[in-house]
Amino acid sequence: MINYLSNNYDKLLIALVEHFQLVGITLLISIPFSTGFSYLMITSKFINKIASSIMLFIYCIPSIALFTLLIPLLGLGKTNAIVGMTAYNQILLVRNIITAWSSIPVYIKTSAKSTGMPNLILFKHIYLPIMLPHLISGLRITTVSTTGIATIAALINAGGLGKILFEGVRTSHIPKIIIGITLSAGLAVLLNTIFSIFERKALYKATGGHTTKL
Amino acid sequence: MDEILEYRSVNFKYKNQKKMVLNDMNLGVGVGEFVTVLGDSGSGKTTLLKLANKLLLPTDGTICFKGKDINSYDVFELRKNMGYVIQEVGLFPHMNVKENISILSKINNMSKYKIEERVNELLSLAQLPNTNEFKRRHPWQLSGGQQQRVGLARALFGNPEILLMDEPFGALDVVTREKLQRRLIEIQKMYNKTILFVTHSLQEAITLGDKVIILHEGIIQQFDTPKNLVLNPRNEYVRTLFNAPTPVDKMKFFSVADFSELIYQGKPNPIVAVQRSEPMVKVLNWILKGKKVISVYDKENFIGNMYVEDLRHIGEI
Ligand SMILES: Nc1ncnc2c1ncn2[C@@H]1O[C@H](COP(=O)(O)OP(=O)(O)OP(=O)(O)O)[C@@H](O)[C@H]1O
Ligand SMILES: [Mg+2]
Repeated sequence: MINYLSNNYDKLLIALVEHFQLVGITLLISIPFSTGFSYLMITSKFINKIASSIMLFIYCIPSIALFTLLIPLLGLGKTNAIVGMTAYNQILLVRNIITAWSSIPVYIKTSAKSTGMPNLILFKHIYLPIMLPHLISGLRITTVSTTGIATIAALINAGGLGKILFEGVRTSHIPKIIIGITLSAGLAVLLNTIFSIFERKALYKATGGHTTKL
Repeated sequence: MDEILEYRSVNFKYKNQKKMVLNDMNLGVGVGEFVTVLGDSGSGKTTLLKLANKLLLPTDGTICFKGKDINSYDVFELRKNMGYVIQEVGLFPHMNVKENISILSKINNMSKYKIEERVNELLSLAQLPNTNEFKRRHPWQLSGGQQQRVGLARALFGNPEILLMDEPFGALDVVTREKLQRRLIEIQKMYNKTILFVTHSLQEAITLGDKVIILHEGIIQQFDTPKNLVLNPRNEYVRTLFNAPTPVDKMKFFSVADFSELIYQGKPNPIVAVQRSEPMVKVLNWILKGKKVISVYDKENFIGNMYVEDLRHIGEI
């Protein structure tokens, strides 16, 4: 295993970076979409019902099936994977954005509105800071989930750590399997930790330092 | 008198509800007037204020601000001209005292120095310490009464023409409450502010208000000066309100002058003696008939004197 590691150092690094890119791009695309959907879903109960059902339905499709279904449209490769994963993420992100919005007490919203400041200012200075811990939490869960699903995307030639993992599976090469798993899990844990730190900071800010400890 | 705020045949009910919360509300608040709203829980006081601030829209009727339908104003302009202290206070949890008070500076580009100066001024107006330590505290680090006072300071920051206050002193002890009541009257007189002030307390309503709105089940029972409410109650509800529940010894008013001095100077009318268990209306009646000193007895035992300057300045027992 050590042997494999030292001989394929650069190949592993490339896979890791590729994996990270896959996750990163997916998130960057998922965020504006989920923000837009959330806005519509908060404004209209009807849209909320329909959109939640569709998103949940998509979320329940096994990832390999979803990627395969997208092949006729998008072919093999990264684009397919990114589109598929973005679709998966919607339910996670949207749920969290809506939770974040409802986490602001009604009387805070009333008191904010009564100042007579424009909505954009209210959003930036009042709503967003209070919502932020929930938003980061949603982002954290979505990132971890995407990191996992991205390994599967190797099966449609999207590259990343899944490539090493599945090579290992195909050739019964145990070190490759272990390293593939370890790296993708490690990446997920690392990203989770980073988001957790920001989440804690945001929570501290949102509550004015009143973080209740159990 | 020019009317700054006017309700014309306003009816209101909440969405998906059958019952009207406010019925045929007709009401004019003059510039520089201090109007109190007195009513039991659920009578529609908060709803009345929210309508003025366009947080709710009337089901029927018109509300005018400075003679123009509030719908003809830009909603942000309208709200900026009204300082609204909501019932829950609603301080922003992520902002400290200073940031809360100066929230409006996010849109008025004021210099840092100006903001600091204004915040200090408002803190002392609200009887709060203006130390840096206090200004850096967050809402959860304040007592209920301190939160209410920060709320008041925040509403005053933009120097609004009218203040809408929803039970702003509910959480205060008697001493601080009286100090603040006096401050509020001072501010109102000095800057000619109009105030619409909601309260549960009969006594707060008549001590503060030039006029009092008596609200019950969404209907204005009477809108009048304290004097007329006592002398000419329009219906049974108002009569009972003044007759019933507040015995004399529960009355707490501003303590102002040294009454003994006035007695020695021979200024006041003869002293009137009342029993402490008697309803407030009796005392108010004496006051309105021009008696200046009221002595309170419990059977044979002397409890104390109240000195009366006008309805707003009544000595404590
Ligand atoms: N959002 C709402 N939806 C439906 N009904 C409401 C809503 N808010 C208030 N009400 C009802 O409207 C009536 C008047 O409420 P309002 O809050 O104006 O009373 P209030 O006089 O301010 O009472 P309190 O002294 O308890 O604050 C009450 O019967 C209340 O139950
Ligand atoms: Mg209320």
